[in-house]
Amino acid sequence: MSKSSSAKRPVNLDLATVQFPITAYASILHRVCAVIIWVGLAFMLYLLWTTQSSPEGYGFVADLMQNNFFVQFITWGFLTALGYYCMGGTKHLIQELGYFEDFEGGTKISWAAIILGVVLSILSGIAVWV
Amino acid sequence: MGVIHWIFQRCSNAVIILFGLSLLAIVISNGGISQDLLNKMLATTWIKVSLLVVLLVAGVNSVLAGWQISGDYALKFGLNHKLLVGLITAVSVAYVAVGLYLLF
Repeated sequence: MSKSSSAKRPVNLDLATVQFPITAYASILHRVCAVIIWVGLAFMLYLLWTTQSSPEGYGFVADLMQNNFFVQFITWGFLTALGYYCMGGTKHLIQELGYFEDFEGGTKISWAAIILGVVLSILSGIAVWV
Repeated sequence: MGVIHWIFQRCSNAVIILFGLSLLAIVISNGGISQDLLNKMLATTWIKVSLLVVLLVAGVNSVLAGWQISGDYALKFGLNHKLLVGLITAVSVAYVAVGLYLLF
């Protein structure tokens, strides 16, 4: 290979210009959800701590959960992330057992995980807001 | 060692998924969690033992996952990998400590 052609060769893929398949979105979403759960756990542990501290603490958290949109939104986001993390993780475990490993199968199971994640998100929203 | 990490992560993922789905089922079916329900759950021995196992397993899992994720992105964003892993470990240990306090 000549020096000039070597210099033009791309070093890394520019991910911003690449169209991802659904399998990639499913994988990225799983990782993003893991980070959301990890960060959101601090808030959830605070709520749990306050709930268990005294009847007044429970009343305070109950009031937040019923009337504070910000707290409701964080709770819904946490539950949504947990739901998709479980679906994505199950998909991962199924594939590591040797099923849905080819691209066609991977596409199907990725769609299934995402759709089930959306269903769990809607059910969580109903539990939080209705 | 890598194989042990891999096996531990898969087993811990299975435990976390089971717990996560159980938690979602409880929250969704009850339209939230009441103090009575929470107190009943924490007073039941097998639930307490299960929560303890999930807490410890999730703590170690989050340190391993944090090490992996920060390893993928620390260099790209000009962050110190060891510092990030230290921070993730400290926060995870704090989560486990608070969880143990709430349980016992």
